[in-house]
Amino acid sequence: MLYPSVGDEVKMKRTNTVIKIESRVAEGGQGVVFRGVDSGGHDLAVKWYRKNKYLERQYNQIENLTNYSRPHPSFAWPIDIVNHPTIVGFGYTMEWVEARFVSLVEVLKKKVQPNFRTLITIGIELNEAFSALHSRGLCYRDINFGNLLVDPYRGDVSIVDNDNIGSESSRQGIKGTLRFMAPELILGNSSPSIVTDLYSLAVFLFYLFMHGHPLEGQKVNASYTWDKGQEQSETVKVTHFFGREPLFVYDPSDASNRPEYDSPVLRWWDIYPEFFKGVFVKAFTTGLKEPSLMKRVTETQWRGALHQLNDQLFSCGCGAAVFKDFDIPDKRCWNCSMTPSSVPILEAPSGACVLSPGFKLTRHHLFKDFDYKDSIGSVEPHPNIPGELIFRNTSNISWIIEPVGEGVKEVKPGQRMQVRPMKMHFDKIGTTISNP
Amino acid sequence: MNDLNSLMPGGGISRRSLHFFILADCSGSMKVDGRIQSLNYAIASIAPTLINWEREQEQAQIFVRAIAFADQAWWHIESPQPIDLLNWVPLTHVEKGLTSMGAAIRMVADAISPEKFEPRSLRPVILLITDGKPTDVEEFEIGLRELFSLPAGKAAIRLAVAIGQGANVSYLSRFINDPDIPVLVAENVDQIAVKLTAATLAISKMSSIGSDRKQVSEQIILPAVNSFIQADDDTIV
Amino acid sequence: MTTQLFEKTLEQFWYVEMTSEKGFMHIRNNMPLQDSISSSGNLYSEAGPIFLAVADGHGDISHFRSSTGASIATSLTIEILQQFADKVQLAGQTEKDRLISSDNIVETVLKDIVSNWKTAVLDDLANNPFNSNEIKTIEARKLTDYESNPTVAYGTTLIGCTIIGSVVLFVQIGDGDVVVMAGDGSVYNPIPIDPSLVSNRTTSLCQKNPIQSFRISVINIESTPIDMIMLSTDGFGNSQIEPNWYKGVLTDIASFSQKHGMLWVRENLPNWAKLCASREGSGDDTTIGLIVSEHLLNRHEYGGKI
Repeated sequence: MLYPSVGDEVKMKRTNTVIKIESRVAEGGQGVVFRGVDSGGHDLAVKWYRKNKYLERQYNQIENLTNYSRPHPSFAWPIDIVNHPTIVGFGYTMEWVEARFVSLVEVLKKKVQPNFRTLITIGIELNEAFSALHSRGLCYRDINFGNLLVDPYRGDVSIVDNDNIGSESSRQGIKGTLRFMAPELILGNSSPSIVTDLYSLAVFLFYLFMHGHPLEGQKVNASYTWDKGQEQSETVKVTHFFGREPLFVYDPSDASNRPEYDSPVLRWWDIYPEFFKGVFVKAFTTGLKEPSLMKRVTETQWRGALHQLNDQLFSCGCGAAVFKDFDIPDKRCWNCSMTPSSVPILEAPSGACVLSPGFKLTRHHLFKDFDYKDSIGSVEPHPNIPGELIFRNTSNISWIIEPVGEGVKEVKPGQRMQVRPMKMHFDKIGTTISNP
Repeated sequence: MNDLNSLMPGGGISRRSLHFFILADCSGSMKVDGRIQSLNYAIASIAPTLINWEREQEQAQIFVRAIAFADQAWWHIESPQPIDLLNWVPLTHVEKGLTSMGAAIRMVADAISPEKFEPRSLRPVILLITDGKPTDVEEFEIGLRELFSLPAGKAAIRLAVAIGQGANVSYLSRFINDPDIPVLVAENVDQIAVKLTAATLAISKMSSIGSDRKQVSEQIILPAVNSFIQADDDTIV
Repeated sequence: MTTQLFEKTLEQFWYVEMTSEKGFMHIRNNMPLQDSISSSGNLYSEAGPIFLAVADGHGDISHFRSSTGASIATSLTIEILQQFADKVQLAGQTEKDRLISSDNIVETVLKDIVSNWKTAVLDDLANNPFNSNEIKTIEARKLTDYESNPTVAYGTTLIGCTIIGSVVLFVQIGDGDVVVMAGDGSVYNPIPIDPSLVSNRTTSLCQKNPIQSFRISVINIESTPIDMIMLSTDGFGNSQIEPNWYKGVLTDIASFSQKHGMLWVRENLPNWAKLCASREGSGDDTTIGLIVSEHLLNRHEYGGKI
């Protein structure tokens, strides 16, 4: 017997907890994944390794990971090694990933896309997860569609297949998944690291927001030919376009690899504000050719950009979700081609924010302290007046407001105020709402 | 600006400098659990926030220097590099290397001594990144004494990042010497930019009255405005 | 400093120019101009005595009335220096020597500055008690004992200078620069720079025992002639790229004065201070006081900028 069977019991090494194997759910290159249940009735995933010559290394790797605390809740982190009473070899158990998590490919294929707030939430969660991992000096090594699962409704993320995680110095056979591999990995000049993870993360985020690959444009497509004999081998092409001479589809100084006319990237790229596209430009120009922590986009930069993007989202009169672009004041709506009518702007110390339903005010907006977690205010549609907005005070202090043409008023914790031009005071911080 | 400057007496003006010193642990123990990678990653994460900060506050130019330490301390970046041009060559651990943190502190103390330190610069920032405790404890004590005896050392914003789980923070706290400034972990290094605000308060001059560090931390402690779950209120103001 | 030639009143004309500009950081943080400068004397017309005082109120929030503290400091310093000058001018040689001795300056001028400043500040406080905002600030600064020393709220530096015949007196507490160009074109700091004044610490009129932190200097201009004196707050020095800017700055000003005249210098002085106070410079309040001897204008030997 190579693998446990349904109905077998495996035992966790450290705690002796018994897990009953319930069903076989997947089989991959390294082994088989089962669903198991512990004595408390909780679902757990059990991955059992296929016999191979690296088994000992894999064992040490997993054991090492079980010694770390989980860097971020999004990781389906190895909990413990499991053994079977009769079968040689080993497996490990991890949190059961619920069915609501699917591959991003599934999501991108759908006709109705998640709304932008959800997309941004997915981006933020992924970024936080990798930030936590990299901060600990660990790298993931194999970012791809199969390993980073998303909940397209809630914006949650689940990162599976954590067995390749380790410090850069720990030896690993894995090199990554082709489309996500950094050029230096494709060329064999380096092994997977935090630096190569940062590249893969940028590719994943590009897919998430732009619906395509950042290097697949006209130039790459032109290399495909129907002409037999002229055809280059896939390996040669990949090495060339993803490794030796990679070129970003929106490289500002070389337009020869722009997206094909029918590429969804063409349409999506235009939707986003310039500052956000600028982060991708950095990731796939200097970040493409100079593999270093300083030249690639780190999670710190993505964090700022993703939160800022969230602050600029609103709805055009036609109903389409659009982003305010402070660099292009009269930018037209991607859907109706009209310039959207003016929206209320909160001039927060961290930068201007569009007040629209779903906007959350955080400490960072006021104090620039990088605390994005707590919502201290939120914007919702007005319950009684269509088209108007209310701003709910979800903080522990009163807001002092001076609406234009009215006296000074107080918005107590829990109260709401109608959004209109005014001066606002949060403790010592003064801001304004304008509606130009 | 050139025209005006040429009509101005003297050798020209510029913004004041903020000298940012990184003291980076390269001891043998930094090899395990990706600690040295964590250190390099932390520095790469700090850089963009510092660049942003420099751009926004429009007051100071940040210059970075770095001292690495293991069996001894050495300059990793000796001549001050403008933050936006910082080219961080990743550090590697020294096999079986000791933790000469004291030597590193003495080295930075020397660099900010009145003879060497640019007098018009803002209060310096010294960031210590380490996974442990000094092996040169005596030097550590001497280093702290030297540092705190210097005007710029006393005034310095001293910050520390603990690398790895269960790092010994007692030495780091002694280096920070301010109970209100917590030891950071690599994950929240972007908060370093927040602490820098205090460094620019050189313009907000103080008399020698008042306790030394307390007022510094007061300046960098932000109001406690937090999320608060409460019963909904029907009022719409 | 030698004092033997004191009986002679020098026939020397002095030009006094002043400027004070609010710093960019003060504008941005809604802070008032906290520097102050004032002068007195028969300017442009006769030989001295002349008086100049510069003060830099501390910017930290714990010194929330420092702009008042600074202007009180400059105006009363002028008065006290005037009383001092009256005595010096009326005195015989021996008495003059005694008057300008360090011990006497400490006992009279400095004691008067310190006690009059304290009295004036407490008067101001009695007339304008701390308002609710100020009380909030005080409560936030638990470690500063405003109760035993409310003058902290008014904390300021001070530089005073007077020319009485052939005697020049400088007094200083806190930072800022005193620079002198001698008759031979050499440039020096009559009051040595205090190396402890770095970052955001300074000695202050509001501290305990301020006299101990005062520094004084007396120069006899018959034996060591002076062509120019510059008093400036640290907003100026902190803007200078050259760490040792004194020689370059004064040589250039000397050269400007000779080539373009004092009127031109007067017109341009505010621009220099503005640049230093801008975001291109220190961003701090910048104050410059210049005293230029007519002798300088008659010489043509400074190789500075023109």
